[in-house]
Amino acid sequence: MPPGYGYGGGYGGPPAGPPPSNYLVPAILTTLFCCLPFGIVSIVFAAQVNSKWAMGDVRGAQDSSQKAKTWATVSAIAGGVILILYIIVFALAASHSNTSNP
Amino acid sequence: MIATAARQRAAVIGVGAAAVGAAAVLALGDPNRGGFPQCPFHRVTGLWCPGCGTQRALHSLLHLNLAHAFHENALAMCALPFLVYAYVAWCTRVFAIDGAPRLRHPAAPVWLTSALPAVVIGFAVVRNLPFGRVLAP
Repeated sequence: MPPGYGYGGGYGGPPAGPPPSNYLVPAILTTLFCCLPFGIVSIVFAAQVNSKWAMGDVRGAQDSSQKAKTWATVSAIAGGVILILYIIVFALAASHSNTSNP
Repeated sequence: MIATAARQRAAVIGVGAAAVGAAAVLALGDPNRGGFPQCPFHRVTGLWCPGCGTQRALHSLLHLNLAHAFHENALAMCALPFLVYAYVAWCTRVFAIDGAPRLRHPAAPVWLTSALPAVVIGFAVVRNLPFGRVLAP
């Protein structure tokens, strides 16, 4: 079933069909676990999806949906990179202390 | 279509396995003692971010100390039931069993999703202020 464009993008009310995914769950997860401000940016865009959709702003809702997805992805990747760097540093520190012990 | 369904099932199992693995690490280890990754935002700025204390909160929760879990990160504890529901609903939709109900994706009312950025940012601000210590980990 195609997404509804029944109101021609007018601002009268919610269009027919389901709104685009708001990516709220990944936004919350990356905010809680990646500890970077990117997750909050994702929550801000996620929050705009359904309110824009309710106003009949189809393009705006799709735009916010894409931005919420992008920022959740950025936050997840940044969190993953930091986690890997942390593990490398931790492993190096552990091996260094092992070899330097008399 | 079949490939998409298989990929969705793999995603559900992957997320579940990651959650179980993380829970096992947080239950058996102790994030209060170090050896766990620190929040980079807290490391750099010294401020509490909205996620700070989540690892310790989950550790306390897995040891059934709900009060201490809320003390470490009340926001994460409030979000947890919704995240669990979202996962269960995702499972019922991806693993559609005949006759079993398929839970809808959590469709939060607009006022709630609209308020969420203010709640998260407000939580982050208050827990860094002197009178908001009760919300700081």
